[in-house]
Amino acid sequence: MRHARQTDRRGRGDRKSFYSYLVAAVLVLLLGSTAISGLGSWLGARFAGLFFERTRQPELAELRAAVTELMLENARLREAAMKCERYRYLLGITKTSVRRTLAGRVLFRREGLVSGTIVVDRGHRDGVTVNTVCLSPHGLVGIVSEVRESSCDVITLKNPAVFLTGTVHPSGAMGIIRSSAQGEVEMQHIDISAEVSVGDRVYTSSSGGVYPDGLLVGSVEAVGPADPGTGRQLSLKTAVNFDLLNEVLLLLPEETTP
Amino acid sequence: MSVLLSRGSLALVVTVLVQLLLEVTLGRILVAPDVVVLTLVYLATQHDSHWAIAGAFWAGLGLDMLLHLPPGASVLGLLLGMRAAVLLRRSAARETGTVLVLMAMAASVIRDLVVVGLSISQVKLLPSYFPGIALGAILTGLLGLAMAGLRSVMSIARTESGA
Repeated sequence: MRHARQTDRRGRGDRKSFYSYLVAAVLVLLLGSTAISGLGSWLGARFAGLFFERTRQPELAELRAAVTELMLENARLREAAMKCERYRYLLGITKTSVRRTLAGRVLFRREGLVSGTIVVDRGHRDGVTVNTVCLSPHGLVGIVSEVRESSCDVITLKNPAVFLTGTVHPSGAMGIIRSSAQGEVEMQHIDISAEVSVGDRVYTSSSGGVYPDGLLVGSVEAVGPADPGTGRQLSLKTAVNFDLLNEVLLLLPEETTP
Repeated sequence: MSVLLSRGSLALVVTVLVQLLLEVTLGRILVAPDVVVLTLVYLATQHDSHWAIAGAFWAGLGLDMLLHLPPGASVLGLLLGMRAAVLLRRSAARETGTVLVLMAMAASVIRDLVVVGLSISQVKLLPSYFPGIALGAILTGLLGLAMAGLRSVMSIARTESGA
């Protein structure tokens, strides 16, 4: 009898303890992100000088600006080359983007079952908005999904939430690029009559309205069988190694261009 | 009691670090087993179910910080998972090795579901993570089976040496 009463009392105590920890967990879930990012922003603003003072040396700043300019020029040239080739009989009607890029540092990456998200040290105050395109010198990285005051989340091509239209070079075949939950990047709905082979390069297409033309996505790693119903499917090898990213470029929307 | 508490805390801290290493190595290739859940189940069955709650909270907070998950996702997942495990333990007639493994698997599935649910932006993507979650639970179960087997071998050895 006493044992039963003790067990009952312990069970009630456990339940009470569980509910109090559950409330604490929900509070952490609701306020933790804001509290941590607020604390991080405050610490960053307060003590950034201690760690990044050296980067303010004029030579490094000039070199950084030159690298940014060259990367931008490279992207523009690649875009222009693609357009020239596609519309070689219609020269004069192409339009080159004048969008400004912004260099940013990768602060950290998410691990676990849901990966494919990186956090960059640029935010609202730098002109970054949701859907800002993120790239590296090697090619397209992904797109900004969430923006805070001084940092933003970039979902990479390995994240299944990213969809974009792409073009295979040199065949010109178009398709939809997306990733599986396992992080394998695929290109779907390719016209079965298109001549696509392993090693062909895949670039972004502006059809979706978010990404500009001509950003390198990767190369064709394997060509799937032709299915008359859904077209051909390609396995892609991304041009960017997402594990080794330290610095990225954010392609600011045109309205933020000064 | 305090020695027991400090040993348990130390075991939990080490397990959280091991989980981090598993997530950044095995987790990138395949799926990492939930060793934190296994340790919590072990501590809860060996000492007190208080471990299943307080341990889940602090281990979850540590995992969220180390793995850069949304703060609170692992906390909530582990709390709900361990609650389910404790209820499973109470409903079982005897506390066998199989029950322990089932507790760990149930806690692992619930934890992964909550973490994935709170980390992804679109709910329709959730089913694509089911194979990974199932594989994680199976790996956790296999590791739990190995641990249960080891524990029974050790208890037999202890009984024989005592006799």
